[in-house]
Amino acid sequence: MNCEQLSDRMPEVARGETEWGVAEREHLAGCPECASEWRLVRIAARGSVPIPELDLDAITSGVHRAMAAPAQVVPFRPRRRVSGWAVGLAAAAMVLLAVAVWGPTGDAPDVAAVPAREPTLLPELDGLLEGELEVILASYEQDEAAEQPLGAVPRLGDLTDAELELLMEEVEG
Amino acid sequence: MAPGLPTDPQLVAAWRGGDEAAASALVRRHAPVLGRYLRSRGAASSELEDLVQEVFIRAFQGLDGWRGDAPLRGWLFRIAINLLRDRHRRGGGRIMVELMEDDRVDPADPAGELEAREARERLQSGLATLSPLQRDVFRLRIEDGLGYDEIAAALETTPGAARVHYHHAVRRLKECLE
Repeated sequence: MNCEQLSDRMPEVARGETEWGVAEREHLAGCPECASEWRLVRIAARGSVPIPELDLDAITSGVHRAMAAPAQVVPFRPRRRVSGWAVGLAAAAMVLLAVAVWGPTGDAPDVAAVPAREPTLLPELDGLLEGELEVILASYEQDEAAEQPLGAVPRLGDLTDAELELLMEEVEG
Repeated sequence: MAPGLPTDPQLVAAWRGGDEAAASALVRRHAPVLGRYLRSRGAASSELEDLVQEVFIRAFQGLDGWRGDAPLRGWLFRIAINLLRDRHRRGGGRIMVELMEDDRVDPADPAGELEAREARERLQSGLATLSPLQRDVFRLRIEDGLGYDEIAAALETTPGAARVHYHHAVRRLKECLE
């Protein structure tokens, strides 16, 4: 029996759950350090709360009920209904916007890359990229290339409104 | 634990396998000491069963967080400690303390009782001078009867550290009583 072993046993003896053995009593009687610790532990244990009376059946069934209950789900709030005509109108607006912005190629332009241009009489042309218009113009001019002197292919800015209108008719078929 | 009874890990494994009786056995084994702990930390008698039940619900819902090599009782105490902290925060920091039977003087031995009370008051003063960890270790050891491994699980430390904290606390408190 040493001080550490006695110290480990003190709490349960102080709470009255067990008693000292003979060897423990002898050690306690001859060891002032352990005796003062024992006094402290007894005082502290005296302040401890007794085991409360609990309705273990109620606790057990409450636990089982809680574990059996389905997990809480946040209620789903249905979306507000939108009438058919409003949906149709919105879809039509989207189509018009897409045609106006993306043009006949259907590719979304890089807005940041579109250089500022003077607006033309044809808003559809304003939505096209410069490169796209160049390609269209080049293909349009190919048929008449023979008649044009080399290097005289007009730029978009050189076209008159009537020519641009003609160009758009060609593009749109 | 009495020989022949299933251990906590065995009961946990059985409960995980769908055995509800194993969960009931765990509740019956640990609920009384948890109730005492909650009561001693200021929980009212009227709410004790609800709190103990809440500890077990949290425990069963979070069993994946329990390391099987740590004592289950210590882990349950950790849940109880966190539960009290949550309540303390929700309650704006107020703690309800009921007058315990022990606070009243025994008319049969008033002198001895007063002496004992004086010693307890010195002890309370001494406890207040300890670090929170030392105080928690001391109280869990003496009042709640936890072993060092259980205290370690409850306070998220090691059994060795819990032992050292306990002996530091004992040394300081002995000085307060001398």
